[in-house]
Amino acid sequence: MSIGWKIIRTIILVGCCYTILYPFLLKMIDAFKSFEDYLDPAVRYIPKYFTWNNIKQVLIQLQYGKSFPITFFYSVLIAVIQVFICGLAGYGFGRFKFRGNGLLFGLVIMELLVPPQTIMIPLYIRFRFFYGNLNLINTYAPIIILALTGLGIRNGLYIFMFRQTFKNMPKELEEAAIIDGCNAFQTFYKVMLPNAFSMIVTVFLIGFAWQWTDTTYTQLFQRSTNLLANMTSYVDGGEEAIMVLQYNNTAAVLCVLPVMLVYLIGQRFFIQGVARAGITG
Amino acid sequence: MVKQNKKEKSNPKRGMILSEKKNMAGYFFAMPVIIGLVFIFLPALVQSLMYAFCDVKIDFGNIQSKWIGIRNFYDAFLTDSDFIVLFGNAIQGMFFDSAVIILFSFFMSNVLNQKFAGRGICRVIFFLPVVLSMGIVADMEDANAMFNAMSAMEESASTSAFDQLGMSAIFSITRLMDLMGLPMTMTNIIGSVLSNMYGILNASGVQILIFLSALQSISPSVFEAAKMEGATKWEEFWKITFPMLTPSLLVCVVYTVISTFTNPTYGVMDYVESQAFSSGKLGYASAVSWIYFVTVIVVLGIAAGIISKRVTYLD
Repeated sequence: MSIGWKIIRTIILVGCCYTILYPFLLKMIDAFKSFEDYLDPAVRYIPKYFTWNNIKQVLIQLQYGKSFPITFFYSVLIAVIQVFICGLAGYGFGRFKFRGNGLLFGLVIMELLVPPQTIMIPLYIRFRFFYGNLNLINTYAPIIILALTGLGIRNGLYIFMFRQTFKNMPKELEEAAIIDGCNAFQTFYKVMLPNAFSMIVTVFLIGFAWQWTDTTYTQLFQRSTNLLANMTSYVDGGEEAIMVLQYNNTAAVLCVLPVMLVYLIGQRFFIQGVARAGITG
Repeated sequence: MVKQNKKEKSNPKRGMILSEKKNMAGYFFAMPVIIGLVFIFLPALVQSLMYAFCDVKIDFGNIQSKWIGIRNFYDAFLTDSDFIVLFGNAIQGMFFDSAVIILFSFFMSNVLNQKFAGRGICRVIFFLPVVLSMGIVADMEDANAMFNAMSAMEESASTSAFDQLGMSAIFSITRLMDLMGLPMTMTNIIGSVLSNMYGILNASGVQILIFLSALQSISPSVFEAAKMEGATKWEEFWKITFPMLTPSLLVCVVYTVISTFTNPTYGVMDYVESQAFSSGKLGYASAVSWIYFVTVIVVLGIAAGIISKRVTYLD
């Protein structure tokens, strides 16, 4: 590789990373500023009075000790369900030419196209009076049900991603599995899924991140549960109302950091995905 | 599909042929999603479509709807001057933004797939927009926007010293291109892309990730074989990498068109929401959103039609 391209690449990468990071870094610095510093336009990058107070306050207000584990396990659960359901559906849509395939897949795209706001009211009514009188609002059930039926946040995208991945796999793989005596599900589970490993990691990471930060569905269906997305709307500034801005910033940083950590770990599996891909040939 | 139907007609007593039987398994795999689509999604969608033809009012918690035919659609195009302007801008923006985002994310994912020091960190940073662009953080950004607008007026001199530096850099680049005698339209396009860089990076997080995972799943042995045959890097890219990425390209185009059209900067979605919840015109709001759906479906249909012909599946 030529030196020229290396230099250009470095410039592009540094420029892009800087553009992405700059606003986020400002937020992180704001989290450590005292309130006087926050209002002082002259203090920008290095706080004059460094303080942990904001973070302490926000951790208490978010009930982080309680809401963090709940949000974590809930997001993992939802992401796993979504990977499984969307993977199954993607395989079904991608590899089998059953009747109505095109029409049903059109509905999947429609699902991605229709913003949640459009179907919010009918969905709310459905879960408020679930099969007669069961009230599922303010429980963890509605989003689990939506994930189980492939209707969660932008699940249409995941189904589409899986469909394209499975469609792009060589036919010989499947044939070999069938000759070896696998039934349809075994073929999927033992041969196709391991080959879609990097797509699984991708969908899991996106699903996890979006469930973690989702406010649309969580605030519609389970406003009073202890998820971080709900807790952030209760953050308030106490005596000085304007402090809420700084607390909001801090809360945003505290919400995003765990997701980035999960991605940092998940990112390693990307590399493993390459090693696995070598097996397929 | 068509062929199978013909066969069925010619021999009505015969059961399903083997490939048809095998294809029935598709229902089994897609079953949870089919149930969701047919029993939860479709009724909600139909209800929203019904509202588009009705005058909907919420009286004391009861939803009352009166059938008024296509009046809502008629109003949207002929009476409501705000909507037409917003809609036109959104369509224009959609084409330009989608093209820029797709090209950019395609390029970036290829860069991020190369080996270099700090690749892991770079990938994490490029994932940040996926988290930041929706949900909690986006909501808070909205809440902060008002305060920021206020403070920007107060301290315009000190705050934007940095931004001014960026703007003047962009200005001097476009100026330089002018001097080089490049056509005006090209200069304008590059200028607007550069000044929108943050928006573009924010919007292309998911696409980069999709391309990246597609790149990861290309088996290294294919490249080895190509190298043995004496292929250059250029040939490797166009004959292996690009065809292997086309299935993901289709996903990205569809996703990008949809997400740029719903981009809050064009205000269509905000307008729908304000009509529904502030002005209480639920029926009109759903008519407007249906106009938007149909438009996007048409655009997607054309785009997918063009791309699908060039998509190569290994299958």
